[in-house]
Amino acid sequence: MLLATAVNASAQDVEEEEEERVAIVDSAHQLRLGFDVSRILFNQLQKDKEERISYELELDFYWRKDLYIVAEGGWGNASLNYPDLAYKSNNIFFRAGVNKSLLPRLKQNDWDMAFIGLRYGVGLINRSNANYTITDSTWGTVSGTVAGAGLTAHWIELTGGVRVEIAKHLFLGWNMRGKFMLNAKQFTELPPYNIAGYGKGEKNTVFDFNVFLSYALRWDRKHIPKPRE
Amino acid sequence: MTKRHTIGVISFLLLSGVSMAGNKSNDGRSPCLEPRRYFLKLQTMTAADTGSAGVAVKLPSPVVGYVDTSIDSFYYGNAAQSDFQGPLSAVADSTRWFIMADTNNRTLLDTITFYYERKPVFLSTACGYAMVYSLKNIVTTNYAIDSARIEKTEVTNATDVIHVKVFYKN
Repeated sequence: MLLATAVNASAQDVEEEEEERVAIVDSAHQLRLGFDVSRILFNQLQKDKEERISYELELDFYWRKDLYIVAEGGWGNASLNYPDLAYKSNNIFFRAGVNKSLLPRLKQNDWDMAFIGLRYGVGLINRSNANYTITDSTWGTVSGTVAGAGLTAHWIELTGGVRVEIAKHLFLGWNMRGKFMLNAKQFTELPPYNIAGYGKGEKNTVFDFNVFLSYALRWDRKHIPKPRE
Repeated sequence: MTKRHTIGVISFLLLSGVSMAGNKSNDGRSPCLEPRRYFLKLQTMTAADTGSAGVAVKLPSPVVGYVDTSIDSFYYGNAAQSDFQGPLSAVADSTRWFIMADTNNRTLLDTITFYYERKPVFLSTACGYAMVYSLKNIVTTNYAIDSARIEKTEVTNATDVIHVKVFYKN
């Protein structure tokens, strides 16, 4: 009987916590805009003959039950400049998906999170003319030009990361991403050296990392009065 | 353990993994690890007693080389041989080889001219482009050679392929 009472009491506690948690989750909206600060560093670490510049922004909106709707975008350019192969490319990209926080919010102003997420990404790419040279040790060298092209890349991503509120409304956090190209066949003939938002164009699978500094806007949800009985 | 501690532990573990992976990865242009020149493979044959397939025959002391370059031979062997491979010219649409079947009988020297189309193909950003060839025709002299035929038109990185069979007189 004692055991039954204890179990009953425990179940009641859980239900109360759950009710309280639902009240926390549904009490406010949050829209967070982030900028990938790691790109500022990586963009400086370029070599003379290889260049990969990119910028990334992230917008996430708290929906409900630890679920965030995410939109990301950015732009960048890349170049390869070797005697045997030289070309450039630039692109913009967009990603959309969701993040699911694995750590529930503990109180009203707790927005720290560790999450996993899923994205669909698309990149619109302009590739310049490419100059190539084939060295033939017997007869000499052959040079040629491959015409530039407009390309579209589609990929999906699995991501995970954290966001911590380091000051009021200001967040710092990181994402790890595994990216999988969906239309790799389009990139067998001279892929861009780098696709901003994705990574090396000739790789079907890419691992990537971001460090986001974000600012959050919050507002209360509209109170909907209960209908009178 | 508080929520922030949990996030801190997750961050530490994953960032350690990332930094180790970053140290191992070569972020620059990778070295080219595949061949950038493709070779034509030729087999010497004699006509079979029946049918048209022929049988491979080893030339007793062969020398094979280019006619039109300063590099005279790319195969100079004392051992008998029936399979030879050498490059086609990437700067012209034909290449001429000479084949001497036996260094002890220099009158048995023939030339064989390969006519082809060239096509540059992209290998990778590490390796750039390579030339592949599509054989169109073969012309030979007939001192020792009876005839020749194209077995496989595309000269690419494919292995275990005989592109041309050269039939010697019996």
